[in-house]
Amino acid sequence: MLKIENVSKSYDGKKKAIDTINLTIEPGDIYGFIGHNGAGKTTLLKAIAGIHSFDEGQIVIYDHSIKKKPLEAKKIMAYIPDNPDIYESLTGRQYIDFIADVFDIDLDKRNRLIDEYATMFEMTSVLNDPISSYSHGMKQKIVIMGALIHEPKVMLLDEPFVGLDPKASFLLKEVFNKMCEKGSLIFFSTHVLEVAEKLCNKVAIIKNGKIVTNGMTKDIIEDESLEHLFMELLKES
Amino acid sequence: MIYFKLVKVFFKENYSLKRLLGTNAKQSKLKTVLLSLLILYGLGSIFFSLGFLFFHLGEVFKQMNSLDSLLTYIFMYATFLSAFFVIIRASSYLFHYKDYDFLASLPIKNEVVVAAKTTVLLVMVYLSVYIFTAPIIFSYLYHGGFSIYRLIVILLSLLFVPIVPLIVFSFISLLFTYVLTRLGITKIFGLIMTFGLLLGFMYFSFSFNSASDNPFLNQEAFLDSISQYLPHVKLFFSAVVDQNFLSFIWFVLINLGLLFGYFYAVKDLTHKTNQNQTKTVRRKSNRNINHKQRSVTWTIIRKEFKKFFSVNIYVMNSGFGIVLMIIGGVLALVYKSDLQVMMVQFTGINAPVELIVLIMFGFLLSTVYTSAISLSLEGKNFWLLKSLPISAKKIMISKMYFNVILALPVAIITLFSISFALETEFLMVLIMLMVIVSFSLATSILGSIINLHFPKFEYKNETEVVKQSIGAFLGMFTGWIIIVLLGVAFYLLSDLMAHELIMLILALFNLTIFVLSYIYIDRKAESLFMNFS
Repeated sequence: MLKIENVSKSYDGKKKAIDTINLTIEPGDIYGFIGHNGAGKTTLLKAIAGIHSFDEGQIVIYDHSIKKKPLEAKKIMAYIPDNPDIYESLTGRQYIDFIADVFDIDLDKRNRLIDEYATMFEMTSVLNDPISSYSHGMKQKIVIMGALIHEPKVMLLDEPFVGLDPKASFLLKEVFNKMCEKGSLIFFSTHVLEVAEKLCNKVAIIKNGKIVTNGMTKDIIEDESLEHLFMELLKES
Repeated sequence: MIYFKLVKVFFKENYSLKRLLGTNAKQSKLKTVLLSLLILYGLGSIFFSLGFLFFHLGEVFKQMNSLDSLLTYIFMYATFLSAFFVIIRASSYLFHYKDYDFLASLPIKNEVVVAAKTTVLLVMVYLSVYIFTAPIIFSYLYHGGFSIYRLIVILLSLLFVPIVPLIVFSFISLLFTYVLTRLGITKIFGLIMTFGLLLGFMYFSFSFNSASDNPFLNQEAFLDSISQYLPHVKLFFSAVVDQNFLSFIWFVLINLGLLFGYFYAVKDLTHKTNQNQTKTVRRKSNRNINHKQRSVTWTIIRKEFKKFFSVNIYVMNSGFGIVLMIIGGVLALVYKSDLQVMMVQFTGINAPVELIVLIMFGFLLSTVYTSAISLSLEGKNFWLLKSLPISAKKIMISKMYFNVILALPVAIITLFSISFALETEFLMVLIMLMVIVSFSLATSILGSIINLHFPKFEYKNETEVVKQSIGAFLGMFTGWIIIVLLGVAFYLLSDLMAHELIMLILALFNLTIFVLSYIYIDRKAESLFMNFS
C-alpha cells in the first residue's frame, strides 16, 4: 500500500508546490493523477520516488517510509519519468541489465522477462543497438521494460503514454492490468483524460498543489465525463 | 557490486569512443584518424616541451646536489592539475549531475553513487596528472639513477595525491556555486575566477627572470616553502628519497582515510544539492527592456553571444586568446620601453618586428575558434534551427560573423596599442590591420566549413565539444597552418620586394581563402545540413 499523509513541499519557501496531500493507494489500484500544467503532479511523483525531499508529512510504501527507509522503499518501486533521458551510450540490453543488476534479478529470470517484454513491445531487433539511436517512443519503451524487469509492487509513472504509439499504449495498459491482478499498485499522472476514465479504478485531481477531488472513478464522474468534471473543477475557486 | 556496475556505466557514458568522436568509429574512419592525430600531437607537445625543460632542470639540480627538488614539482603539478579539474568538474560530476532523477529512484546508497561519480572524475584527473608528470619522473629517474622501487612508489603515490585537492576544491567549488547562485552573479564571477586560475597557473608555470638559465628554476623556492607546511609532501619525500616503505604506507592510509571520510561527509550533501537543481533564484528586473525587431543574422549573432557567455568552458577555451590580447594591449602601453627592447632582441633573429607582431596576433586569433564548434554546440537543440525558415548558409555565415565580431575589435585595439608602443609607421599599421582583418575572416569562415564537416551534436557536457572535438582541434590548427604558409611566403618573397608589398599580398591571400570558402558554404551548406540526423 502507498500512503501519502499531509505531504507538502515548497521550492522557494513561499509558495507550496504540493499542499497537504493525502492519498491512499491500495494494492490492485490503477490510480490516475490528473492536473493542469504546474499543478504539482511531477513534484508529488518525485517525492514518492525519493527523488525530491518534502517539507511536511510522510510517504509510506508498504510499511517503509521513503524518508526513513529509502532503500527498502525503492526496492519495491519503479519510477518512470516523463522524459526518458537515459544513458545513451548503453545499448537497450545493457541498460536493462544495469537495472536488473541493481535489483539483483537472476540471469534466467531477467532473460525470460527481457524476451517477453521485448517481444511484446517489438524491441527485440533493436535491443543491442545504442539507446542514442532510439526514437523517443523506443526510449520510453526501454525505460518501461527496465521498470518491469524487477516486477515492482509500486509503479509510478509520469505521463507514461506520451510518445508511445497506439499499439504500445494498448500493451502498456494490458501490462498495468496484469500487474494489478498480481497485486501491484499503479500511480500515474496523465493529461489524457479518456485514458484515466477508462483505465483507472481511482483518480485524483490536483489543482495548484491541492487535491480537489479523489476516489473511485465511477463515483467521481457520476453521469458526467471526466473531461467535463475536470474543466468544472478548474473553473471553481 | 553495484559500485563497479555504476562505474562501468559512467565510464561508457563519459569516455566511450563514440562519445569522443560524436559518431561510430567504424563509420567514420577519417574522424578516428584525426582524433588519433590530435591525441598524438597533444601528447607529443607535452612530452617534448616539458621533457626538454625538466631534463635540463634535472641536470641543473643534479649539479646543485638537489635533484630531489623534482619530487616537489611532481607533487605540486599533480596537486595543481587536480585542483584545476576538480574546480571545473566537481559541480557536474558530484553536486549537480544530470542523471540524478534516474539514480535517485533506484535502491542504491548515496555513498555508493558518490564513490562511483568521484571515481569517474578522478580518472580524468589521473590521466592529466600522469601525462604531465611523466617528463618530470623521467628526468628524476634518469639523473638520479633508475630505481624500480622509486618508480613504483611515485606512480602509486600519484593515485593518492589528488585526494586532498579533490576534497578541498570540491567544497570550494560548491561554496562558490552556492554563494554566487544566491547572489545571482554565477556566470561572470565564475568566468573571472576560472580565468584568474588559468592565468595564475600560467604565471606559475612560466615565471622567470632574465638571470635564470631555466624558467622553472624560480619556482623551486616557492614549492619548497609550500612543502614545509604540508605533511603529505614530507611523507611522499620520505617514501621516495629515503625509500621508507612505512612512510609510503602512512601516506596511502592517510589519503584513503580522507577519501572515505569525504564520501561519508558528502553523501547527504550531494543528495541535497542535486535535489535543489530545480530550485532557481529568479530576480525581477525593473529595467525597461527595449524590444527590437532584428535581422535573422543579428538574431543568430545575439544568440551566439548569449551561448558564449553562458558556458564557462566555451569562454575559457575560445576566449582565452582575447583575454591575452587585452592583457597584451594594456601591458604594451604600460611597459612601452621594455617592449621596444624585447622587439629589438627579436630583430636579432633576422625577422622584422611587424612580422613577429603579426605572428603573435595570428596565434591569438587562431585560439578564437567559435565558428568551428558553435554548430556542434547547438546539440540537441539543433532541430530548432533546422525547422526554422533560415538557410543553412545564413546560419553558418552568421556564426562566422560572430567569431569575427568576438575577436577582431579587440585585435584591432591591441594592434593600435602595440603599434603606438613600438612607434610603428602609420602606413605599416594600416597594412598590418589589413592582414589581421583578412586573417580573422579567413580562419573564421574555415572554422564554419570545419564544423559543417565535423559536427558533434551528441554530448553530455559542452567540454566534449569545446575541448575534445575534432572541430575544435582543426579549428585551431587551421589558423596555425595558415600562419606557417604566410610565414613561408614572407620568407620567400622578402628578397624580391618591400615588406609592405608582401604583407598586402598576404592579406590578398587571406581574402582569397575567405571568398572561396564563402562560395563553398553557399553551394554546400544546405546539402550538408540535410545529412545531419
